[in-house]
Amino acid sequence: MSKIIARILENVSWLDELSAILMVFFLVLFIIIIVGVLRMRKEKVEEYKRIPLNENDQDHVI
Amino acid sequence: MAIEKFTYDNKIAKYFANATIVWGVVAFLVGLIAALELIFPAFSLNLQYITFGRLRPLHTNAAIFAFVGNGIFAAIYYSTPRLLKTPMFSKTLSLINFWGWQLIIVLAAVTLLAGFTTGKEYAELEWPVDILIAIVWVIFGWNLIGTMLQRRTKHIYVAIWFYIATFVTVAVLHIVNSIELPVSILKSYPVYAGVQDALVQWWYGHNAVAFFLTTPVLGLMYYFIPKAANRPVYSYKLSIIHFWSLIFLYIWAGPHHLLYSSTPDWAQALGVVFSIALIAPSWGGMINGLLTLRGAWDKVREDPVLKMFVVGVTAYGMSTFEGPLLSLKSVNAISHFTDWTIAHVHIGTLGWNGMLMFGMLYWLYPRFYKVKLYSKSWANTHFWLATLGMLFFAIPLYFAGFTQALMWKEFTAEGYLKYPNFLDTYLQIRPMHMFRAVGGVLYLTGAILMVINLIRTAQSGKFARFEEDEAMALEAKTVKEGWHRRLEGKPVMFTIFALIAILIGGIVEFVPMFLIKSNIPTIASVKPYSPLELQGRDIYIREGCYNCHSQMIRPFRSEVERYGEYSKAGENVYDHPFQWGSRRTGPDLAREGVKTGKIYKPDSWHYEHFVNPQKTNIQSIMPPYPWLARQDLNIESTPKKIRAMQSLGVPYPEGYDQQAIADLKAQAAQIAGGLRSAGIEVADQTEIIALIAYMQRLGTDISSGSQMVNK
Repeated sequence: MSKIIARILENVSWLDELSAILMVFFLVLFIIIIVGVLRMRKEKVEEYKRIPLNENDQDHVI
Repeated sequence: MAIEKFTYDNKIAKYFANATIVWGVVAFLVGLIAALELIFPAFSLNLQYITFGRLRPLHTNAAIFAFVGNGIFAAIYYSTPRLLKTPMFSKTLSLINFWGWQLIIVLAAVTLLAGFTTGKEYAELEWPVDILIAIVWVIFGWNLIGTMLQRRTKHIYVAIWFYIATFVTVAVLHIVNSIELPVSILKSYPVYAGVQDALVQWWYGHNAVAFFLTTPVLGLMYYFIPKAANRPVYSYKLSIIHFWSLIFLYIWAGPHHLLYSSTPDWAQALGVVFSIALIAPSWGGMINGLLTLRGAWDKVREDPVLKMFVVGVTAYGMSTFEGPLLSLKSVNAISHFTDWTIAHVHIGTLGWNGMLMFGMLYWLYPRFYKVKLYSKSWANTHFWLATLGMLFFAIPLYFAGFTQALMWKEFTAEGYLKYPNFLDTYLQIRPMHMFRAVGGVLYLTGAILMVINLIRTAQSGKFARFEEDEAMALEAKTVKEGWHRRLEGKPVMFTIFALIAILIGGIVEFVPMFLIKSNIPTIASVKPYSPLELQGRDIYIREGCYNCHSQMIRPFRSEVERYGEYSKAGENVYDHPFQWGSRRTGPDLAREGVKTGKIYKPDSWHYEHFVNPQKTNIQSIMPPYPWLARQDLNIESTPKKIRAMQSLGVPYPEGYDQQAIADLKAQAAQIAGGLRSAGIEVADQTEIIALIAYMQRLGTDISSGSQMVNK
């Protein structure tokens, strides 16, 4: 198995293109994540960020 | 839907919190002793168990895995049930996690001081302890995931995301970096060699910082800062972006520890690029932590917990800006192997990790015992001792780092090294090391004050083991949600995605490095070590020489002029493990054995230097190793070691294991005979003879007429 992978890595010229394709893929994925996050509705986001705070933690604040 | 009542059990969180305190003091104390040994070598008391080479791994392991390790477990076992509205999955697994982890720490302390080490930084523990770590870690993950599956909250909070990333990544890092071939019950060789070993090791080493000292502590931050400030986290959007980009990018950055080494340029370039990119997600975390306090800064003035959190998060920001800076090749050319790196990591550990842990402990104990903290003013005093201690520690080391780099690289007008004697460059920074020790004393004093404060707090109350809470059972209703919100409701899927994100970088770096031979051009003249040299190399590893000496000459005029020909990748193909080191308290040894070289010393010099370094130079800070001249070499282990090396691909002739002892004895007799003719009485088969043989082998493979070939 490792020999097959090694042969591919050594001899296949399209690996350079593959690295470019991967770079574009991750860039697009990153942009989608950023856009997706930025489009979140504000009221939802305010709700989501709250930590479950209903235990009585403030009794013994120093 | 009915409200369900349930109970949190604080016992395990308290156990881990207690262990954090105990091991924290131990880690700081050992660090202080190690710092003092660098100023006064006599501090090692001529005892082989407490030389700097053995204490330093104990210090780093204690600080990382015992102090911070117990601290993150305390945070996880306290916050996870509360965030998921359920008790921990299994009390038995929790107890095994706790006692297993303490057993690992004790075994680490004993074995490291006894000299059983793999010689790989932050992964020094030998194979039986490695297996134990893997088992305990899987038990921890089982307990964590089991708790998530029985949760009553639909979505998992951001702190839990970081705990998940910690679990999966540390498991992958530890297992891959610890693949080794056992030779005896406490001795093994890594399956990787040379450049490949270096790449795997620093992929592990860098990401131990990322996923043991950063992601779980970010999880801790996301729980305890909002709790202590009584405010929600600043930005949910920012937490999503910085979480995924942080875990994806971090894993690629390991090769920045290998800049200008014989690692292929493409790997170094990847390390640099991803390190620079890391500023964004790291600062995303810092900003989210600090801005959570907006509207609550008045509390920071009063509350020592918040003060510590603020300084801790600020130190994280500084440290994660400095890290990428140090990854730039032009900066790294100056900083690498100097005290600058030591200053950098201590801003991270003393500042970010230490302050977050202290803040958490001051927050937890009053809640464990349902009382107010015994003394708020003592906690404030601790805050200042820790802050000043950190500054007294780091600032002198920054000066020391710059000083070292400038002196190593300075040439006279005639073109010679201005400071050809390496020791001169150390003596210049000795006062700075004294200031560093003062910083250590301040930091330790603060920690001791905290111990007394927390003991008094515990004594003034009664431990509240169980806490009641209630929540609605988890509903299976389907509400239209955004993609990430849906993912937060599927913890197993979340874990799988996190695993994929952290695997990509490692695979992209490892596959070509292991499979494309041109990455490591073979050098025909490089031969396996002789049996005596192999035994000597194991003593070099046992004594932790790599903690002060590098074996990597970078391709700079100043280094080639001082040490000789720069290091080539093909020279280390039989080095299981590689021993490039990361710091030069002493000179580089890569060309130590080259007879026509810049730093060659005869056997008799090495003998005197090992037995009493101050005899060869009164100002030397190397500790004496007189036991090497007294202790017999374990010759019987030689055939096994040769067979292990053969299994790893080192081309000893078939059946050579049967010949190895005779060859070893012959070479030892030759070296000992030479020493006797120089007036030194020494037995043939002592450890010092093997170590001298190894020293004299270093760098000799390519001393003349060597050919580099791509096979």
